Amino acid sequence: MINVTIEEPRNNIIIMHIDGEFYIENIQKVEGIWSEQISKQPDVIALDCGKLEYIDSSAIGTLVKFLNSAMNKQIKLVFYDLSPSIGQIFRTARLNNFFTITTGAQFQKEYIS
Amino acid sequence: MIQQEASKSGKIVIIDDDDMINEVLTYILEEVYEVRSYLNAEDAIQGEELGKFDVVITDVNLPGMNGIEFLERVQVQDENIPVIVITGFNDIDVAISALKKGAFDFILKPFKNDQILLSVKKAMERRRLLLENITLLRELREKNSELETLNRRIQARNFEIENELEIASNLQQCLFPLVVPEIPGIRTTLRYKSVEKITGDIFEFIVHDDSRFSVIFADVSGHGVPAALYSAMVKTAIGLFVADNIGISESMAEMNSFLINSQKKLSYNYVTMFHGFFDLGNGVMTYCNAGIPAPAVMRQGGNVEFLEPNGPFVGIFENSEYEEKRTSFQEGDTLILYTDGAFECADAGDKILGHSMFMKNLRELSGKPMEHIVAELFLEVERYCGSERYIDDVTILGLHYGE
Repeated sequence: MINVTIEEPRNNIIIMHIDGEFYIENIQKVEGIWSEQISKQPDVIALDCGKLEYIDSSAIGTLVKFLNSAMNKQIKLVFYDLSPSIGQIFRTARLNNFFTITTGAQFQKEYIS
Repeated sequence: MIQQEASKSGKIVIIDDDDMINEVLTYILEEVYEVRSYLNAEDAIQGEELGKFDVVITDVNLPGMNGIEFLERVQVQDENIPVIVITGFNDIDVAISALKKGAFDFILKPFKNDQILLSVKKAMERRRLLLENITLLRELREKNSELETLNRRIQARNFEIENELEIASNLQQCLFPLVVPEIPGIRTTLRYKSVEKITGDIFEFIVHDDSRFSVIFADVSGHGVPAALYSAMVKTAIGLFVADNIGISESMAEMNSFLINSQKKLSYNYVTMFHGFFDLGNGVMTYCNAGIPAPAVMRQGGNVEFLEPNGPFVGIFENSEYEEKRTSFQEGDTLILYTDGAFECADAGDKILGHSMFMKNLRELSGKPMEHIVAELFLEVERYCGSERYIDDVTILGLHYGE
């Protein structure tokens, strides 16, 4: 079960708040929401992972797909507030070498304030 | 026979041997309904197609066939036509008997106009509901029949898919035989369980010569058919780039490029992979761990060392670099490899076992024979989540250095 809500705190900045478990069966739903956001051509899309409880291997592949599509459109993709367990998965996959990962407070300071 | 012109809302047949009653009833009803009246039942049978009218009003006492007999004739033809029986006060027992035989209502003579209109209105409504019910039932039967047809098609397709999966499973087992080659100086044991008929967990041993071999232990992202097809690509990559004259770092980087280019960025599958190169001559294993959850080296003395991942997943990012590491094995040491399905299993309350708990279980088994360790770890997964609640493929492979 996953719930994604969209916030546009500033012009050209979109935050996708992800709540729940991200796995193979709801990838299509999240991809649909992602496509809607990317078509708005923002400068930054942030994935708020504070309430992301679980991610499976297929969903990790989807995040890489998001990164590639964002890069192709010159959109900055930022992840913030990863839980320790999800952070561990990102580190294991060495995703932290490729993704921009930060905290919610840092994101606010850098992009919103 | 007195025939009235067709009216708007339903057709009524009136039978009474009293001309005046016929005329009165016709007068009351003809404004709203089409009315046809007869002096006896035989004329009504001759003049009407039974079942092609909506309501009958009949006197009980008729010359020849009486009203009850006519009622029975109508019911044989169409039991949903309401029949209203008119009778004199002295024949009330006959009227009650008519009700028992299925008459819709009875009206005693003398009657009031409103009585007739109300009773006919109710009878028409009853007729309408009954006909509507018949139509709905027919539609329901038709829909049920369509659903049954669709269900049969789905079952047939499911059967085909099951067969295809069985074939795919057999082909996959040909690609990745679940047998480990005999390697002098190494004892192996394996336990596995796949969520579906085909698996995304794969392993391969490549024996280079009498004293050197490679073990590849991998877990393809996702599961089911896409994972199985991708695993065939991984198998090709292993065949192309795992060799004794290609260093592990280079081999992993080549496999990474091959898998990325093969997908042409249309999909985002990837594989976590442990690639170990054993030299039995000196007991050294050179390895790279691209995302396989920390394989355990269980030392004969009881210590347990975990070989944490030291490289990015394979097939996910271009130009990934892979670092080689080394560890030495002594006689009696055991290497345990496992996929994340071994600890991402959930109990009845959906609580995941977790990697930390799995590693704790591993540590507690140190010093035990390898076969016992692998069997116990596997059993622990079953005990924790129940044999029917696997959410990912589980593979546990043990290699014991020394006979």
